Amino acid sequence: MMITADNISKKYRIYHQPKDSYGTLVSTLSSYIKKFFKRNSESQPYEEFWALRDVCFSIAEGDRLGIIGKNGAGKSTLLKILSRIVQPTTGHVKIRKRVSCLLEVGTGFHPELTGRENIYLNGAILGMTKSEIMRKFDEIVAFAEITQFLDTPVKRFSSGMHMRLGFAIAAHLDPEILIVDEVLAVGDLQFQKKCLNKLEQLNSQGRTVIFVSHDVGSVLSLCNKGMYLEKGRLVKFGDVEMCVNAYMQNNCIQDYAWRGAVGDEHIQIMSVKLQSDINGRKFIYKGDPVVVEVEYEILKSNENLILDISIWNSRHQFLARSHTFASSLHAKLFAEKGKHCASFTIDSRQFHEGEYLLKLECSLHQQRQIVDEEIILKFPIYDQADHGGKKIYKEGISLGSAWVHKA
Amino acid sequence: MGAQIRITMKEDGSYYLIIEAKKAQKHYFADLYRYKELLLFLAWRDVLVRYKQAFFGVAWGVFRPLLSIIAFTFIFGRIAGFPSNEVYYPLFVLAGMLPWLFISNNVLDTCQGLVNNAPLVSKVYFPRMIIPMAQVLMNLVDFFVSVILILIMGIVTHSFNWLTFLTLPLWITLMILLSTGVGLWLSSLTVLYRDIRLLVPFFVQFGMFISPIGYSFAIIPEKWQLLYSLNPLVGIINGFRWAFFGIVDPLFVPSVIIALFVTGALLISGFNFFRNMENTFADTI
Repeated sequence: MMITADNISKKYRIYHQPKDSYGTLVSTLSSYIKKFFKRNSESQPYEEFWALRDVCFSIAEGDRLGIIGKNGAGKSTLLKILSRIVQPTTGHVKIRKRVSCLLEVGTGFHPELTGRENIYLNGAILGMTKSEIMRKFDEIVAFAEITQFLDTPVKRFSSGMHMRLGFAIAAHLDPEILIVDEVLAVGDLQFQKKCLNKLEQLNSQGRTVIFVSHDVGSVLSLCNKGMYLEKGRLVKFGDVEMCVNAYMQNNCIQDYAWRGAVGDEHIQIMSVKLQSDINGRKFIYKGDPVVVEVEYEILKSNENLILDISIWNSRHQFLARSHTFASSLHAKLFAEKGKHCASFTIDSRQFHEGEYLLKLECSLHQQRQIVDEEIILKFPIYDQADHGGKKIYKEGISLGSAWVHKA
Repeated sequence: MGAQIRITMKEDGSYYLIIEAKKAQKHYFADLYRYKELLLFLAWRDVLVRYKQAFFGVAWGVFRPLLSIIAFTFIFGRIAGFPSNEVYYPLFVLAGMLPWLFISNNVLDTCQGLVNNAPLVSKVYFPRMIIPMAQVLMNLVDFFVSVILILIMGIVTHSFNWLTFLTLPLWITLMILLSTGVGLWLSSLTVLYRDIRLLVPFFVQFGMFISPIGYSFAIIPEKWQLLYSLNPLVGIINGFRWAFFGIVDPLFVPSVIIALFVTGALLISGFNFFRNMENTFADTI
């Protein structure tokens, strides 16, 4: 086992009085003097807070562990314990081999020093030896694309250059175990792509990677093992899909069902839902059929009734639509009084990985909207791990892959 | 509660790292040794930054003692007419000024050290002791620049006693150890109590007057001499003057013994205090 963690817990104190975790000598001394005279000492009221509670797990060589959980679930605390920055309150961790930890890119950059000097400094801070840095120096400079600014103080760097340099150094670390916090969350798309590619490369070399992210998509595509933390406790550990399942169920990443009763004298919409279980998974991989079911009641049949399903991206930009007029079954859907159920299957291969909104509208053709309320479901589509990490697009319609080589 | 990190080396060169919630740590020195390069890099960074920011560059290391000795020579040598054991007065002041500047700069720097490096402490692991140690190392560079100054002045004025001069490394070592001990205490205390940063400069100013820098130890009234020697700087400055000029002050040996004793006590207690505090730095900083 590469890493074995046994019952690790971490306790913090939260002070109710507005006080920092550190104090001042003057206030401490004066409170001692007060105590001495008063005798009935009232201690500083504080609350104990367990950032992590009894977490046990072990990972083997070559495992890529993805840690997911909401803000405050204890993810960063766990990383800090594994990288020795903070110490657990109880329990112990056994780690084999050299750990490199990347909680932030460009840690320890000094603004007054030049790019060249900072490469040496930051390299040493991340645990590289001088000869290692010298050997990789040219590579780092090329990767960061800062050749002409090498002797400029870092304070004159643009934020993009700053970040590229930081990541370039980190990317040339050669650790047996790499611990990465959400460094990918920052930076432009191209930069994120570079980061992902680098992680992929480490994967293919069989390195052990521990990766924390809010982005379930990158966890699914990078990791083979998952860990789901909630409020400091380990909820699920093991297969990455299983952990994502559990995470999805407990969090509103997706919104698969709508229930209610809206409509007019012609039609009442009762529910709209997405099929929530696909091969035992609670989330959608690209390629899965996405089945939408609409339950409604016809009160007065009218052949001008239309149900309309549209897909929007997470920024509420319109992508695609289908309405019941397009179907030969249109007349049948609205002909008889009583309860009906209609289903529509979306081919998710048409979409890139990303988060989508599904909107249901109901109207009388060329007359008026029947449902004013917005009926919106939310569903993310993920890419499966074996795509080789070549994820260039995010959110949008795919044109497919009908390329032909003509000459 | 402290925690323990144990590193178990195996025959094939791989090792286990064990992080445990326990007190005491045996392998701390081994860990410190593994991070020796980072120590040098941090010291190198601080030297670079200091000389880049200072307008005078390296001359800064010469200017400060030079200005101080001009002032002291004028006040104590000319106006007050204090004795200097037949040594050229500016040179006499400089010999005391060297260890004083080194130690006081260290006190001022180390009390800021961990707090100023907070982003490092909360994002990367390394033995935290490296930070105050790197600052001592940085100030040593300044110190040697000033040593060049006294060498030139001493050789020009033929004031050195070359036999005792050979003991200079001993006094320098003592001075470094004292600074390290004080630095360990101050750097960890500042993490706990931020206002120490504001108190320290005041004490440093005070310390300059209760140490024999601008004047000779010999002018202290005899009944106060022992009390005066409780300041470990007295022993060290006496040592420097003896090494440079062969001056034997009254109470020379007792003051050196006191300095040795205080240095040892500060170093050991500072080390232990730092070690106890070290595990919580990332939580509190």
